[in-house]
Order: sequence, then structure tokens, then C-alpha cells
Amino acid sequence: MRIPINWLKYYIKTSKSDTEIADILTLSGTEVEKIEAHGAKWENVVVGEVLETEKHPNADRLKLVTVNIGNKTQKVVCGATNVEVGQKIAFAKEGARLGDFELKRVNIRGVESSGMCCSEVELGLSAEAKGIMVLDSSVKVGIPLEEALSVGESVIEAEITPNRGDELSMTGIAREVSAATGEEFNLPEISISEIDLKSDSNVTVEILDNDLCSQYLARVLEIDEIGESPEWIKKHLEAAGVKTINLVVDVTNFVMLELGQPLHAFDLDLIEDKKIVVRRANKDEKIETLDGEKRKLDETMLVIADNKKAIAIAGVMGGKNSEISIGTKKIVLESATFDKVQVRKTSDKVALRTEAVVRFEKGLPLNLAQIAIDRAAMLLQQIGNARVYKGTVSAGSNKELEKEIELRISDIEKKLGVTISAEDAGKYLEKLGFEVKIYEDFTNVLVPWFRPDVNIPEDLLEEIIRIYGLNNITSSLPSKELPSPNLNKSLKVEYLIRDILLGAGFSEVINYSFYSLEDAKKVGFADKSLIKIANPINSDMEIMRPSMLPSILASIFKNERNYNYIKIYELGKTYLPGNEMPIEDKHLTLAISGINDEKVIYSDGKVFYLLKGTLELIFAEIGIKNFSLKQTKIDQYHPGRTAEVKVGDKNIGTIGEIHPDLQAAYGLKRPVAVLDLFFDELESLANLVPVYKQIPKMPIAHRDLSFIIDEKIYYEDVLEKLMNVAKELNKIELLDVYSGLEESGKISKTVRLYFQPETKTFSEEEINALLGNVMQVLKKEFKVVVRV
Amino acid sequence: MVDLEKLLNKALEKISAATDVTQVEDIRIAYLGRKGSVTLAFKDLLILEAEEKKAKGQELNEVKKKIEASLETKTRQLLEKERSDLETREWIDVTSPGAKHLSGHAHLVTKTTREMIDIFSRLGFEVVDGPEIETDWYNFEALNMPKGHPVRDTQATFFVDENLVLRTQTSPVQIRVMQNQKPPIRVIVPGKTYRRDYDVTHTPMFHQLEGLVVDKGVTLADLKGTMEVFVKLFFGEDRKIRLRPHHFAFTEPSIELDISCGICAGNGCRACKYTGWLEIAGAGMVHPNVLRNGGIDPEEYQGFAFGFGIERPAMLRSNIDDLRLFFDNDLRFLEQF
Repeated sequence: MRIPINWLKYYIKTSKSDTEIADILTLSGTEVEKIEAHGAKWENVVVGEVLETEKHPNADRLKLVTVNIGNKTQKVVCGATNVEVGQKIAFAKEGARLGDFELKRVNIRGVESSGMCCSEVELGLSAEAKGIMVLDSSVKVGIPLEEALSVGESVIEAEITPNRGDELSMTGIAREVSAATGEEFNLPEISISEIDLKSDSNVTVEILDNDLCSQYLARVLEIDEIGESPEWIKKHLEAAGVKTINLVVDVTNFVMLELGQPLHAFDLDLIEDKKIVVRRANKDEKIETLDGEKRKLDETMLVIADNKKAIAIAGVMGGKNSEISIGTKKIVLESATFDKVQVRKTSDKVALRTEAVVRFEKGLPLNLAQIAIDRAAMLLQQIGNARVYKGTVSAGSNKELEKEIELRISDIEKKLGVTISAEDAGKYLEKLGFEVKIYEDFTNVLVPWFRPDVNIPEDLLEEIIRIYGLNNITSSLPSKELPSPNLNKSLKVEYLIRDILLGAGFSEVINYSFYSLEDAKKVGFADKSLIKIANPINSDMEIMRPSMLPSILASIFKNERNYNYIKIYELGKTYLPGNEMPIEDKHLTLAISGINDEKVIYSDGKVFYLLKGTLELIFAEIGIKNFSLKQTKIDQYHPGRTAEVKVGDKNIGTIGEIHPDLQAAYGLKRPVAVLDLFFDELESLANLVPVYKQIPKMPIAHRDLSFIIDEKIYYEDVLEKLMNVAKELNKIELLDVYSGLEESGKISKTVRLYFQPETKTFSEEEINALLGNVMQVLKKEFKVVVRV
Repeated sequence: MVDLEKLLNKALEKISAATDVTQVEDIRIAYLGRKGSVTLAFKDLLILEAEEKKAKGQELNEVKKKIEASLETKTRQLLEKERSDLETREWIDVTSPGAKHLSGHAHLVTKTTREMIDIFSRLGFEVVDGPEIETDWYNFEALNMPKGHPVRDTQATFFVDENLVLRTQTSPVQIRVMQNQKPPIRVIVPGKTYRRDYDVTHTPMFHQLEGLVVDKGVTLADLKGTMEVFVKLFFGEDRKIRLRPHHFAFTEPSIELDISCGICAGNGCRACKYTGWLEIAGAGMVHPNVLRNGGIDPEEYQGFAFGFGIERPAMLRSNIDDLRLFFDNDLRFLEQF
């Protein structure tokens, strides 16, 4: 909200500076976003008088203007078409600062020019201007511009929290400042002298839908002439960001900003049968609002109507058909209490968020309506010589329930952790308008009618502590016993895996949890088995992802242009419909695109094997030992290069190159290998505490062996048979594979066999004997040709 | 029997001519090795008479010693020589780039979260988790935001259906924790949250870190102290904190936490909108209704809760001006952290 400081000072006698007021508000809960200090942004800008204009000798569109700036005259080049002799203008002298720019002496087409005739754009007063700014002819030549402009008022812009509707008013803000500083706060005094004619013989009011309108007040006034508002009202309204229109409308706005109650004024002569009805709109009823828009209404909306037609959308905006005009003689003032939810919903539907809506949607106290309508009548009487008819026409109830809260004094220390005496706490509350009775160990607090947000003792504690000052609290730390500690294996496994991947050269990506329906379909999900966001940002962010694949492939695509070699991972969730709650599964998904100079012994499926190496690394580090890959076929993956990752019978993920079709669908240049693991399975299988195995005392011996074998025989099957040959055969390492043999369907493999003796070093003969056994098994089981 | 003098001279000559230690070693083997001339000469002594054996033996020993001494001297000389020009012989350009070690990069969100977790772990907080697709009850109702509550509008919500929303904050986990755990409770909840905004400072998905402490006698002063410890450890000892009263439906009293601006040291600059302060968290004492909804008696227990954005503090520390970069997944961004 915009708070013009001079206006604020009507209600609080304060010695504080603008910045101090802003700090006081901020630290008591009304956050000041900025202080707009009018005038301060101009230096060396003064009022000038145009004495003479002549054509620029070298440019048709430019003029030479002689300006009197008080103590001297100055000749400058000016491009504006509206400059005329006798005008008072804003003149920027050499060295003037206009925003970030400093005015210097320049030469324009051969003529020296020192200074500038300014437009409102250059002065930062407006976003556009047709020419230079022309000032009122009465202003004195030579004085600083900010002095000459009546808008020279500093404004505080503050964020009002949704619970504090009372602060959407100058008096509400003044009350806050006063509570914090202890300075005197005054509400405007209201006195009206009414004439003998009665309001209620000139207009009637009926509420048909009292669930949406609890109170409707109307007053009738007569006015001879509706002119412009006086300067002080205009100045304050403009500073507050409200357009000035005419005296009557301006006064309703002035009172709204002063007290927080939106008001509306109708031309009584335009109200059919002088009858005001508050009712739900009819289906397809239409109204042209004051902003000139024709709006369609529906039965959920509330309107103010006369006997024939809607004349306003309740709490949102008035109608053109009953608008106050220059010729209006009789005015009906409206001050009502509408249902907050209804006003907000209607405002959303008609896409119109007026100052009135902002206040109604917070919920207004019933007591305020009468005060505000009287205040407006009083101002119209004082300023516009309006004659105020006797009495207020009223419908609905205006009885505010009194709220009393009991606050235990011990709770102040118990809940806030600070020692504040009952007397001090009471004083803070009283300054905010609460009535406090202190008893031995509790206080009885009567909540003022303008604070509907205060309902429970905790609300009072907040009032007390914010006036005491949060920053005056002495800090402490929770000192009671700690909850029993939790091992949190999940976090441990996560950290470990992340660290392994960091070392293995994988960078982490984080994708949005949603993508397009098209993405979901690309990885085989049908429309109905998905979680759809009802109101997505756009259709590219519509489906809660059922699979990590589109996410990780999008990240590969994103980087393929800049990187020939990509290793990335994402630790995130997939989302699928469940019974009561959706099923959220945590996945660890890795992808590799391209090969760097890493040593991969295979000529085919390099990215697959590289990623399998990462899988082996992760499992080794988190202590998962007995895992295997089982070749499988999945639609999105390469039919010959894909496997389930199994531990025992349990499938805990997938590894494979993506299918060339999917690769093409994502526009990827290179094959991509993806490893997708269920994180929760990893967590439960992980064994984070390795058991020590004795380091062998005897030196280990090794021999290399090459053999040619049918390429479809799984290496793992060979390995299993060989490892059973002898217990001394400790480890077998695959050193090389070669598939370019003459005989098709065959492959050559070289393995290194490690023999670990237990008690004494092996002799050459012993090793040869073991090697012989290995070769025999190879020949017998797999019909291989062995070359040593 | 060989001519010992000739043998010695020949050996010394060879040693003297040697130009590197390998040659010296070869010479040693040729004379003193298992099949070396001197070793063989010792074997030849066996056939001599005792007296001659003794004399010749002594002579041979002398020869051996001289050769050994000469070898040793030569070796030393050669090593000295070698060390003396090591600098020029084996000079390398130390300014040439190092051999590449390809390292990965954790996402800045992960790094920041982990750092926050570490800090709160020191204060005894446990990490817990909760669903990202939440029911209306957990996300709003239980947090004291009934249907039609205006605060619901300030959190532009993604809806799945009438009952399910993408959680707009990590706070629903507060309720889940209270339902599952008896006080004392001291937890943090890092996680993804969703709001329907998309611009330079808003992404439809972002991360928060929620904190909840429930016990007997937990106070607002404790909350302030906890926030101070966090700010000092995360942003640095020199940063000041400021609490402002604020309004959240699920805390009462509610506060917002500002830290002094690190760019201008609190003097005012563009980053802090000339206020000298940056807002980094919302917090407060858990509202009695929220405790009740978590199945905890507010007469017996009380507590505080706080919520940090994760990206924003990271942006402030690393001077990042566009939030969208976090989820754009361009490695040229990710690799900087």
C-alpha cells in the first residue's frame, strides 16, 4: 500500500523522519518495500520561463529557445513542438542529474547548448510525453522544480499482510506507528449537521441475499455543483496512487484510504424507483462498469440493483448507468459489508481487482461502515457545501460481537522466552487499541472491533512481542533432551552414491518433475495411467513424470551441442496414480553419451560397458555383492543391449542403450546408455560396513590365457565354471576381447587368472597344473580353442 | 693364473672410461659378479699350494678392494655429475596445463542442501521426507488454511484434482511428522515444492528446507538463536540477522528473517533494494491448531517452525541472477559449482 507521509501526519503527531517511520513500521510487522522521496531525485532542475523561440539555423525540426531561469537567461536547443513563448517550464541546468544521467554542455548541429527543457519522461514522472512539461503559469521562476510541483510528497510503500485489513488505511498505519513510538494518535472527528429532509424517504434499501451482504447503509445528499476536489485531496490521492475524478468520487476514495471502508456514490436520479436491492445477479445479466467495460455476470455474483437493473457489482465496481456526473444533484452514498470470499471470487471471475476488492476480501468490521459513511458526508458538506439528509438508511445487522481473550501472564515467558511484565504487556496492547484488565496471574483482554484477526492468546503474544521488538529478544537454543537419534540409512546411502558419482565424473542434473504428454507417450505411457496437472504452466509441463527417461534424455540433448562426452545423473522421483495417494518412487538415473579416452576393451557397446562399470563401482562401494544382469527386452531400449539389474530374484533396475527410435525421437546424435535404479532398493540392500578380509601373506601369481569361443556364450557362465576349478584360483580378469575373427560367430577373449597360494609360493609346475585344469574345463564345457 | 696387474689396470681403465652408472654396473658384474674375472680368479686359487695361495690370495684381495673402491668413486662421481645438470636435462614447462582428471559436479541445490543439513545436524535435527503430491488437508487445511482462506491465493497452487495438489511448501511434512512421532521432535525437511509462477525469480518447481521443533518449553527466543546459528555458519560470522513480525497461517507469532546484505555490507544496494537487508526465511511458533492437527496437545507442548528457500540463499552466495538456470541443466552452468 502507498502511504503518503504528509497525509499520515494528519493522524499522528510524529517527530520521526521518513526513514525512521519506515523502520518502525518494518520492525513492527508492516514491511516497507521502499520510500519514494519526491523531489530528491532532481538536482539543478528549476522553473524557467520561455522568453523567445527561433528556428535552429541548421536544422528544420529544432528550435533555439531563450529561457529566463531567474538570475540569468540561457539559450538552448529544443526539439519539442509544443514550446511557446510565455510558458513556465522545467529547465535542467548544466550538471543536472536526471535519473542516472548527468547533463553536460553539448554542441547540437553547430549551436552550443547548455541546459535542457525537460519532458515528463526525462523527469521520471511519466512513461510517455508528447512534448516538454508545461507548468502552471503562477509558479515562480527560478525555484527548484520539486518546490514548484505540488506532488512533492514522500510516499512509503508497504506490504500489508493478509490478516491486517485494518492496516489498509492511513489511520490503521498511524495507529501502528503510534503504538511503536508512543506518540499521539488521533482519529478524525466526525460531525455533520443534517437537514430536515430524510434519507429514508428518498431511498429504500433491501438485502435479498444476506448470506453475502451482512449490512448495507445509505445516505442521501444534495449538491449544487460537483467540481474538482481541493488541492490537498488531489495531492494525497495522487500520491496514494488513486486517480482523481470529481469531488464526490474523490471523497469516497479519500475516506476509503483514510479509514479502510470502501464507499460508493450513485446518482439518485438514475436509480429506478429510488430502490436499492442487494441481490445475486441473474444468469447472463450484463453491466457496463465505470471503466467502460461491458461485463457478463452470473448467479454466483452479488450486485447492487434498482428495481430494473444492476447498478454495481457489489464490492468490486460501480456501473456506468448510475455514475456521478457533473450534473448530478442528488447523491446516494453506499457503505456496506460484503462477504469477503464472495467479493474475491467475483473479482477473480470478472478479472477486476480494485482498491475496494483488496479491502473487502480481507473482511471488514461491521462497525466501520457507519463511521465511514458519516465521514464522507461530513467532508462533502464541508468542502462541497452538500446538504446531508437526515439519518442513514440501513439494512442488515451492524452488531459486532465483542471478543474477550484471557492471557496467562506466565505464557509470555513460557512461549516467547522473554521476561515482559504484565504491566508492560498491557501497555503495548492498550496502545494498539485493546482494553486490558490485569489480574493476579492472567489478563483479560478486550479486542477492539477493528482487529478481527486477533482471536486466541497466541495472537496477543504476537502483538506484545512485535511492539516489544523481536530484535530485543535475547537468543537461546532449544536446550531440552534431543529426540532419539535416527540412523537415516537413506541419507547415508545417498551421500555415498553421490560422492562415488562425483569421483566417477558424473554431473548432477535436476529436471522439473513434469513434462509433456508427448514425452510420457514416447516412453510408453498411455494417457489414462498418468497424473495430470489440472492447471499446468503450459502443455510442456503437464504430466507428473511417470519415468525418468525423458528427463535425462532432455538433459543429454541440452548439452550435446557443447559436449562430445556427457556423463550425468539425476536422483529424483517418478509419479504414478495409486489408491489413495499417488505412488512416488525415488530413482537414481545415470546416462552416458559419447566416449572420452577411457580404456574400454570392447569395440561394440562401449557406452553400455562404460556405464556397467559405473554400476559395478557403485555396488562395490555400497556393499551390494551378488548382483547380475539378465538380458531383456524393453520397448524404449536397444533390443540387444539391455538388461535387468538383479540382486537374487529381485529386479532393482534397468541398464541399456536406448532404442535408436527413441534416440531419434529426442534428436540425439549419439547412442546413450541409461542406468535406472530404484533408490529404495539400493538403500535396503546397501551394506555400509565392510567386513575385513585378511591380506594374503603369499605373493599372488598370474597367467594370461586367450581362447576363441562362441560369441553368444555369456561370459558370466564361463566365469562361473572356471571359478569352480580350484580354490586357489582367486580372481579372473577380462583383459581383451577381439571380434574380428575369420570364423563368424566366434570371439577371442584374453583373461588373466590370479592364483593365490595359502602357505607357500607356487612352483612353476603347480601353476601349470592349475592352468591345465582351467583349459580342460574350457575345452570340455565350451568347446573352445585355447592359445596360451 | 691371470696377470693381476694387467687385470687391475684394465679394470681401472674401463671404470675411468665409463660414462654412466649402468656401464659401471656392467663393469662390476664383469669383474665382481658371480662369473666375473676376479671371482673366477679366486676360484683359481684353490689349485695352488698353501703358501702361494695365501700370497696370491692377499694380492687378489687387494685388487678386489681397489676395483671396488674405484667403482664406488666412479659411481659417486657419475651421480654427482648427473644431479648437477638435472635441472637443464630434465626441465619441464610447469605452466603447461595439468593432465585432465574428469570430475563430476553435484548440483548446486544438492550442495546447498547438504551444507544446510550439516549445520542443522550439529544442532540435533534429523532429516525427514514426505510426499510431493499432497492432499488438500495436509497442504492447507491442517496448516490452518481452510478452504476460502485468502493465503491460499498467495500460493499459486498446482492442482491434480479436487483433493490433491503439488505441495506448495514443505510444511505438510510437519503434520506427518507430528502424527508419527511423539515429542521431543527436532526435524528438518529438505525437498521439492511447486508453485504456479515462472519468471527470472520464480520457477514452477523449487526447493525448500523446513524445520520443526516441538517440545515442552521451546520458545521464540530458541527460534531466534537457532536462526542465528544457521546464518552465521551458512553465510559467515560477519552477517547480522533481523527478525520482522509477519503473518503465516500456521504460526503465531510469525516472523520473517532478514540477513544483512553481503554485497553492500548493509549500506544499501540494488540487490537488497537499498534496504541493507535480504529476506531469507519465514518462521514462527507453531499455531495451536496445527499442533492439534498433528495430534499434539498445545497445552502441554509448544514449538517453532521455519522454512528456507534453498535456491535463494545459493543465488545470493554465488551471485546468480536467474533462477531458471537451476533447472535448465546446461553443464556450462552446472560445472561451475
